[in-house]
Amino acid sequence: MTLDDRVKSALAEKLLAMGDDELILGHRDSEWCGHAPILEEDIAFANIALDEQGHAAIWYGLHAEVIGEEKETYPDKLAFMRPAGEFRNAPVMELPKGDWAFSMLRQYLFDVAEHTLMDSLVKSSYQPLADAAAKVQREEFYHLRHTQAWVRRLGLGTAESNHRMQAALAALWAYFIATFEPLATDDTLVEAGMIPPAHDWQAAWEARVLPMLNEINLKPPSPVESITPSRTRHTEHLAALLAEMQSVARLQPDARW
Amino acid sequence: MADKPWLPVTDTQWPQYIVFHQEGADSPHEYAGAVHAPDAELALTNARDVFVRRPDCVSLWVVREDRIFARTAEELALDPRWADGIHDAGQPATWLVFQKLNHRGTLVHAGEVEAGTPEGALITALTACANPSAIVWWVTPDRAVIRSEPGDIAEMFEIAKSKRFRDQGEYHIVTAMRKIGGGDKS
Repeated sequence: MTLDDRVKSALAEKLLAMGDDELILGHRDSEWCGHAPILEEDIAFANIALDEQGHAAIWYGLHAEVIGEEKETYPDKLAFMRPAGEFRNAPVMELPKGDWAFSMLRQYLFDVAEHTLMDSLVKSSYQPLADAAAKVQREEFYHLRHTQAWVRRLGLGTAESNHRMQAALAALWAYFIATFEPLATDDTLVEAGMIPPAHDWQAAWEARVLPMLNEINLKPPSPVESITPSRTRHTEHLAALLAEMQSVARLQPDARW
Repeated sequence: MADKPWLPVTDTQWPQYIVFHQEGADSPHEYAGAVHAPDAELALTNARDVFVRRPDCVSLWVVREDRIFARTAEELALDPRWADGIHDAGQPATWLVFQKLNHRGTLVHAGEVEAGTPEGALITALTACANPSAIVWWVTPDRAVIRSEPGDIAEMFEIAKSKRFRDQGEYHIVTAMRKIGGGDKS
């Protein structure tokens, strides 16, 4: 498929943002490794973290193809050699892991967002994107099953678990709404039938998330405040995260694994 | 806990569930290990996450450990009259029978029996599933078993096929270590 330059650069931007969301969230989740509340969940959550990092590799690989870079090696450069200012993840992904309620709720809200986005992307007019979406979607079924079961129990569990979930929701909600903010170049892709309009995606997400939150006695804050950080203007947490995540790769940039 | 004074008084662990997995449609379910979980649904997902790292599973069963009635052949032999006076009262129901046939093996699903009590189920199983090699017997009520659904195969088990990095055969180090272990200096 030949793409004109305008579509090409819009597509590259979008794929980069998608990959960055997965990588940064996956890294935050991985911080629970060895610290989750129980051994079985330690393994399960680390699995989810690895899956998200695997998805990042998929989107980075497509990004590399679109801009004519090497598909096998370029994703590592994107992950380990970029400074914070060049990352395009939504700021919610970089927020510190917080307590278990915060990390589990964030992962659940993300799983629904990813699942609903994949529902549209499997029909993308850009075939490589549709194929990748089908693959990612298979894993998201299971993520959702897992995180939804947890979120339900934490919401309906004890007074303390509900309180912690409510606090997590209050902290996450405005940040999550901001993740649906379209990139400046997204219109081009929507017109080409490659991605869904941002408001359709957000509406699909809310249609699933709101009844669930209601069912488990959690109330999103209203009105939704607007936040200053964005995909191009990160919180101070991202640089610290990258300093740790990139440290080994940067010690020996030409190392062969 | 009074009967087990060596255990700490406050056990904050979740209940334990015993996990059985099936490697192919024609193989029996086999004991895989145990997971802690607050309830049956999470026991099944935990079992998947802990024991289905490689793509050789088509079905999972989990059952709360306290629903399993276990006896070794040695125990039974030491008390040959253990079954005397046992009256298999209660509502008859289906019980699953598991046997361990050698010390290096694991517990394997051997069949079903109808009985009203755990003891009754074991007595029936000793005849119905008779096997002179059996060294351990487990019986558990069929209704206590939580099973994955055939529809779960795609999302719970098939995924592992794309994760070759979890397969130890993917790593040359394993081969290298075997060579060292086997005294092969090449």
